[in-house]
Amino acid sequence: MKKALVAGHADFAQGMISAASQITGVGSTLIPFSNAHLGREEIAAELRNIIDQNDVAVIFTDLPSGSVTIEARRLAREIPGLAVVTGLNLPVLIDYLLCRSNLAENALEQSVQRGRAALSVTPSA
Amino acid sequence: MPIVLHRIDDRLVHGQVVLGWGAPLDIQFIVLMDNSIAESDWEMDLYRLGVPPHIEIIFSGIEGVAANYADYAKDKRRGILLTGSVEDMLALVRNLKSDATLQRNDIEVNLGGLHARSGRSKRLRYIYLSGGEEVALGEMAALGAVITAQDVPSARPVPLKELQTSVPE
Repeated sequence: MKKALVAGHADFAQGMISAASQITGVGSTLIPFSNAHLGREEIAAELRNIIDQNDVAVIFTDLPSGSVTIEARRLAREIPGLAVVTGLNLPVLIDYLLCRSNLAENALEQSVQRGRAALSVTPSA
Repeated sequence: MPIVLHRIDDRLVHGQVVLGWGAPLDIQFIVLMDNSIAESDWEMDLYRLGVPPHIEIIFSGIEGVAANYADYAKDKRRGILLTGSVEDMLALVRNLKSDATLQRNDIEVNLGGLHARSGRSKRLRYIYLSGGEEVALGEMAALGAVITAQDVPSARPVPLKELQTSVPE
């Protein structure tokens, strides 16, 4: 079964996976990764090691400018079919988990759209 | 003084640089000093994707940065000069020191992140140094650079002399 890597700063990945698993009950296909205490080359090596050992289809990251994101994008250029989604929030991850059987080409885009739509301010301006 | 931070960080462009320092310092350009990246369109595209639209990223090797440093100084925008290695920053400091027109004897060098690697020992949570890097930092200080370690603006700047002793892992 295809897996997804959730990667980011400090305990971001563990927290996102914990929350998504509690809500959906199907978080076992998610692999956490933290960049804590790692340099650029070490991040790249560890990401590649995880991908080599697992059938990873997508990497979700926290910040567009994050060190993990840059190394994930580097891998995505080398590995056909590997997608990178940045700016992950919980609604995106939940939608992805619940719709993994959706093989539509734009399934990831749909999850991202739902994540964007979940952002709101109350009261609105 | 448009280059407001001279930073050594082996992660290069990342969250602490772009957001952690970039926002409070109102950074509008980053000079990424790395010979190999500056020679690769592929690598430059990768790093451009990591920088928000309001920040320009300039790629250059060491010689190019030294040659253009006076132009950066005239820039009305505020910038960060970023490199991944102590050796590259030392090469720049030597160059600026020797350029009488620049009169940059007072560069402040920020150690932002040098992570665990074979041959390095731990000095701070985010700073590991090899013997060669210690020597290079010493030469930089002797050339007049003021060197402190500080990963984010809210952290205490740790002077170089406090980094000369290894600490337990």
